[in-house]
Parts: sequence; C-alpha cells; structure tokens
Amino acid sequence: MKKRLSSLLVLAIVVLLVLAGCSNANNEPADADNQEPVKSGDDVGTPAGEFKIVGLEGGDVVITAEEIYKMESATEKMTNISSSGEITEAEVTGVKIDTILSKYNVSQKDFEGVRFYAADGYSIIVPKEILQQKEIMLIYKQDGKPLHEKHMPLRVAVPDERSMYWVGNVAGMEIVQEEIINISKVTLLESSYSLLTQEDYTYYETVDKAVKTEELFEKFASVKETDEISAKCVDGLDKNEKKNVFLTGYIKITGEYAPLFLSPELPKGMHMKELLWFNNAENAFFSIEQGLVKYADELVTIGEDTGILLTSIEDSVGLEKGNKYKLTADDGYSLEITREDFEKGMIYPRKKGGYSTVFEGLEDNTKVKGILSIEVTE
Amino acid sequence: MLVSCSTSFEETYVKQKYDDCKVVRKYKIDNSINSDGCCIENAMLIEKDGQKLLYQFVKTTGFNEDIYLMTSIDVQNNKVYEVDVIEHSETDDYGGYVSENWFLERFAGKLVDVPLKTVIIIDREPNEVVAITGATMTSKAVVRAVNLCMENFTKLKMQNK
Repeated sequence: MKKRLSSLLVLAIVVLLVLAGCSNANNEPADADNQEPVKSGDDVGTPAGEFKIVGLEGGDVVITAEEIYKMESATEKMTNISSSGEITEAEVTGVKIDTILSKYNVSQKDFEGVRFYAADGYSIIVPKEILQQKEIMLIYKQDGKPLHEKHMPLRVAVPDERSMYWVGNVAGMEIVQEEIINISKVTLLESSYSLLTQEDYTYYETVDKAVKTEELFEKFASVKETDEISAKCVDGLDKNEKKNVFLTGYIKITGEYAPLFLSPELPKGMHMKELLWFNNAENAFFSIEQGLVKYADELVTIGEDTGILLTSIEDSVGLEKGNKYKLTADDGYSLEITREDFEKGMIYPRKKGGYSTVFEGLEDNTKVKGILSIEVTE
Repeated sequence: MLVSCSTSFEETYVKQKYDDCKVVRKYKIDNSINSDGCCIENAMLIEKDGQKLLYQFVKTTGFNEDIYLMTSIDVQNNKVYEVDVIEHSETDDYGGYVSENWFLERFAGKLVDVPLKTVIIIDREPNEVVAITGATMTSKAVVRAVNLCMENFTKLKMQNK
C-alpha cells in the first residue's frame, strides 16, 4: 500500500491557495489530531448517547454516556490487533465494565458471553474465555485524546485482543445466556458448492466465486427463528453472528481466505476468514479443506488415501454421539453405518476431485463417493 | 482560478511521469462545477507522442480525510486514460487500498460520456466500478472525483468547439 506525501505538494497547494484564493474549507473534515485541547477524566465533556444493558435479572437498564463519564475511571495500557495483524499500543481511559456491572451485583465473569453492539448495527460477541481473563472497558479517551468522532461517545476496549472487539460508537451490550445445542447433521461445505448457484464476487484485485448463505441454508438446513450462527475459523477465532445478518452474506468459495464469510453490507471486521465450521442449531457446515489444515497432525491413512477422521469432525463441530449415522452423497446416494464403523471412518480428497469416505477394514463398496453430509439418525 | 506563471507541483508531477511530454495549455477552473465534496484544483492539456491528454487534479472527501488524486482523459478517444492517487489518509485496513493499481486500473478505458457508478460484488455494465471490499465510501469518493473530471472535460470540450 502506498501513501505518498510530498512536501512539494503541500507547498504547492499552500502557494496555490494563497495566489488563487481557492478555498475548500467546507470540504475539510474534522481532524482528530487537531481538535480542541484534551480535557481529562470527567472533564472531557458531556456527549449525547446512551448505553443499554440487556439481559440483567432485574431488567434492562439504560445509562447515559454522561453518567458513565462521571463514574470512577481507569487508565490502562493495552494493545489492539488489526485484522491484518498489525499490533497497536494504546493508553486508554474509561470505565471498567465491572465497575458498571457491580451496581447490579454482577460481574462480566458471570456471563457465557456478551454481545456489544454499535449504533450503526455492527455487533460482536465477546466469548466467555475473554470475559474470564480480560478486564473490558468502555473508554472515552485514547492516547490522551478524545475518541475519534466516529467512535464517540464510548468505545469498547479489550486488552490485547483484535480490533473487531473494540466496538466504536457502542450503544449497548446484551448478556448471552448458555444454550445447549445438539448438532445432529454436518454438511461438507466443499461438496455443497456444486449444488448451489455460484456467483462472481470481486474481492480486492480478484474475481472469485461465492455462494449465498441464504441458499446454503435453504438447501441443506433449516434456520431456527431465534437462533444465532456460531462459527469457528481455522486460526481459532470463535464468532457468533445474528442469523439475519449472516443470511444477508456470502461464502466466498475460491481464492484467498476461502471459505470466507463476507457481505458488501458488512464492515470488513465482521468478515470471517478460512471458516472451519459454522452452525445454526442442530445443523453444522464443515470445511474439509480447512479441516485437513487444522487436523494435519491427526490425519490417517487407509490404503492409499490420507484423510481426516470422522471423529475429528465430530469433535470439532460438537456433533452429538449416536448409535447410527446416515452418510449422504451429492448424487443422493446414502448409506447407514453404526457407531463402530463411524469410529473407523475418514474422509479423504479423491484424485478425481471431490471427497469420499472410507472405513478401515470394510470393503471398498462401503465408500460414499462425493460425500455431502453426515447425520445422526439414532 | 488556478493559473500561475510558476511551475506548479501538478506540472512537475506530469513532467516527471512523462519526460517527453509538453504542456499545451493550462485551464482556469470554473469553481461552479465543484460539488459533492469534490474540487478540481488544476487542469492542463498535455501532449505526449502525439496523444493529447487532459490532466486534472482533484480533491475529494474520503472516509477519513481528503483524497488528492489525478485523472487523465484521452482527448481523442473520450476515455479515461489513467487515475492516480497522490495523497490520502485512509486507514490501512480499509480505504488504504485506494492507491493500489488493481483498483485504479478499474477506471482506465471508461467512456467519459456516461457517469460512473460504484457497485459492489461485480460490475455488469461498462460504466460500473466495483468498490474496494470493505471500503465502499472511499471508493465512492474516487468515483465522484473521476465523474467530476469527466464532466469538466465535456464542458471544456464544448467551450473549445
């Protein structure tokens, strides 16, 4: 990426402005670095805005930004990691979430997750693992300065975490309750593509292929009215997304970061690269290509073929353990197997393309070529 | 009004780009044409290898701050010849891609008589330009600037008929 800043240019523009009197003042946006002198603590100002907490036992509460600015503040040094991996150090000032929650006799550590949402609709769930380890803050100053206009009046800060968790212009948080989901069907993403409408999708400099998430669910799963989509990426990122948001998007199935969840309507921070799996209630989708990467150390060889154990897929997505399983191919062929056989099975990439199952000790005619889904039937 | 007797940055920029080019004419800027966060600051006709190009330097409001860019138009063929970003302050993660060649090349060869339109995902019409993934506002700012240059080119051409 190139950024060219020429002192010659600056000089030339200044000279031209002076000589020609051409003013563009109306087009000049506010410069965050040149705002009014910074005030500190509860003296930063009284911006408009509210912060809503949804899901507390005593009912939802709304706190004004002004009230939060007046609460006991803290200043901490922390880093944030951009989506491209760039690490930025920041000194932030604001109020710890637990300072706010203590007024309602709860702590962030009590929750299974917390969804922070911005006024523009962006939202993200901070999972339990982070809530247990990191003190989350609502900040109003960063590096001694008021927040950038677009992040005002409050921004979430999560120490040493990716910037996608640093929700700017945050409007509230929802407490996420634990939900026990039994996944009973796994559809293999790569096998589903040929059965879906593939569209051209421009991703930076390339034109790749993409499928609509809505069509994916229509064909291979039902979507529960109130459920969310949970996803895991091969780099370990866990993410939850609202169903109605996820279904407006695409899965980019070729090129960089595939399978990549993205949508032109969503900020880049909400895209999910190299999806390993995602699920909605009992239906999960699993990427064999990413599975082969993720479980590279656990691959097995049966005969001449090397692949991923069915039990690795089971563990990865949390497929419930059954007595019988139905394996279905992309041409509609299906085979029922027992748990005993399931534990001896793997999926491998075929030399002719596509994927197949094979079972240790069983005849070749038990293979399901073009394997599309695995379903617990009993 | 942007006419100066001294060599401007923009003129230096053009001459550095093409050693053998000749500035044929400098134009006064009609400020009434500037709109929608865009302002043409400099326009000049150059000749290189017998080809006439109208170079226009324009400031447009990006997502963060102003983007300063150059648009050149092939006068004989009525097509955008080249777009180049000279300065910007867009964020690396998002609009920073604005100066990448693969994005700027999307403008080359566009006919000047139909305003360009920013689209997402894929372009289906000749006047469509696909926005940078995750940086629609920045992309729209560049499209606005190029459209303004195309409009100004048409106006100058009519005046000189």
